[in-house]
Amino acid sequence: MTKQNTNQATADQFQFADPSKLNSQHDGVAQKSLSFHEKAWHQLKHDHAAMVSLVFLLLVALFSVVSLFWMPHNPNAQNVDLSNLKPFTNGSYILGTDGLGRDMLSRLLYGTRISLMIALFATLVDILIGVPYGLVSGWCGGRVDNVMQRIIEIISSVPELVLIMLLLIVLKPGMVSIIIAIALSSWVLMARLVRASAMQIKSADFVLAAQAMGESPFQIALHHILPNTMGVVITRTMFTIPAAIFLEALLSFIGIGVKAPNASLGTLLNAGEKGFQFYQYQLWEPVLVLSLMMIAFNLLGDGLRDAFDPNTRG
Amino acid sequence: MKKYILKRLLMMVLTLFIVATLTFFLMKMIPGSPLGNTMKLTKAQQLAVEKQYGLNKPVWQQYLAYMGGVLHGNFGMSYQYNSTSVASLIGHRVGPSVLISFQALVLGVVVGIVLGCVGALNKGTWADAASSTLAVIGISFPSFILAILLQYYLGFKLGWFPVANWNGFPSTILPTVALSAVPMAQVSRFVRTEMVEVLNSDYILLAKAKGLSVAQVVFHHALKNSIIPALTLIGPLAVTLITGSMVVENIFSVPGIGELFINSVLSNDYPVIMGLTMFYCLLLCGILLLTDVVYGLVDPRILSKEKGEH
Repeated sequence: MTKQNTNQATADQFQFADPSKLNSQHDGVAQKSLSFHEKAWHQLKHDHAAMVSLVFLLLVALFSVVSLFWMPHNPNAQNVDLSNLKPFTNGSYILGTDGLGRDMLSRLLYGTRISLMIALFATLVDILIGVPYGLVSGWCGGRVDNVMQRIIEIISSVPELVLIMLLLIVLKPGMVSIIIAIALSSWVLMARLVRASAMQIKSADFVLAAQAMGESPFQIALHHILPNTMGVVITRTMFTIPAAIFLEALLSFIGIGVKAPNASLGTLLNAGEKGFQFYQYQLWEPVLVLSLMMIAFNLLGDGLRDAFDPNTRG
Repeated sequence: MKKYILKRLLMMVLTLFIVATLTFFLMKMIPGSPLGNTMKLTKAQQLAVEKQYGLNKPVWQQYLAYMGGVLHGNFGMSYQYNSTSVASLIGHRVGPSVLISFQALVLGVVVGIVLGCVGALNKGTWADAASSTLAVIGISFPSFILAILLQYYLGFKLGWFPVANWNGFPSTILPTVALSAVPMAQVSRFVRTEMVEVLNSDYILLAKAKGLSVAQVVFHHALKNSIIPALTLIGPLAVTLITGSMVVENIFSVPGIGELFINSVLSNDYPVIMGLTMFYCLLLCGILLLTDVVYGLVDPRILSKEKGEH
């Protein structure tokens, strides 16, 4: 849902300004000057889809944190007498139980937490590699940039999923390996975006001013370039997280991700798919959680992009 | 132009060489042996098998032998598929993958363009909202879940399409639809954004002022100029299709290279993994080069900009 607030007004949209409105809203002198981030937040607040998504994701995060301390049942406690209970038939197991009699709600809470954790750590590593790389590449320019770009080109010539699977074969199976594999294959895009942004900012007057004031190149990169790339970084993050959630689910679904006693959304999908003919809720429940989260992250990402990108701001 | 293509080709060869080298040494770092999985062998038998595959030589000799083979189009023998050569294994399985990817691409691009146009022409109305919502769902909803749901409801429950069993056009329909969702969404968003911009430009205003009908304006002027920038989408689309085809083929048991790749990952069939990695890499590099050349021919401004950058 890309919202493009184009600046051009066509002839039929042209109308006389209402003087009273003009004074209250558009008078630059009277208005308190807002910082870039305040303006972005102001615009984001008016994007209903993005705000609903933000609230939803905060709730998911809250539930995940609460599930650290309290869950309706132990997500791994098996009870064969109560296996495959349908949702809403047993007061104690609201979302039903799986084939081994484990509480679906607890497993969903647990699985969502693991999936989110993997995605967040992968995104963190992605930022820690991608941002400095892009910053150095864009700020230094010249030969350094050239070499760094060739390296990126080589990495991105291998399709993402192929690279992840190659890394997963080599690394020891486990959560840390999944995080590393996802991060190592996705930082390239972050680096590219930060580089492009850094190159743009490099030619701004305030950088020239900082140079004239005698600041070292390192200081300029840290104090002037880096803060100004944050819009790009935050927006990109909102797309990296759902991509990581998707990749984790995919890998666990295929069977090379999170291993058996642990649950993630991917392993829940895998388990649900096996008994789908008979117990459809066991697949639909993780499907709903996963797809709602994916949609929410994407909508929030779109909203943030519109808010942070000055070109699309009306 | 010739110099540019030559430079890109050289870079491509270098890339393939580096990827082959890295993959080779990655595979050598793997703990465990490919023989341990399926067979219980005596020491002597193990040595014999290792000798047959050349695994008893020092790593650098294996590397030189492998790279020498690659230069001659020989990617070694598969460990799993009764010692068939990797090249012929890939060769036999490329067809189905290319077929469903191509069908998915056509379906996704056509539907995507229609949805994008509908959105842009009715900007701000319910039609725009509907097409945008569809695009967000298409991008967010995992393709492998879509594949499972299609397989169960349309294939198994209603029995309209074959569930698996690769046999003729009907069996390609469900994989194609499952695979086309993401390209459809990507294209539709892109076309909508471009189209909104184009529709606001002066030459469209002029075309309207000349008294051309909406259809003429859209087909003769707006569509062409909105679709040319969409050529930049081909790279990301290729990655999407490669990723998507792996899982979709796995779910529908399509005998393609995606399914082969996942199976060889699950069974430690290193020669096939290495061969397919190089194949995917070659494919992606080739597609990217081709796109850039076509783009340069269609819109020479882009190429000169790229040249300036490098």
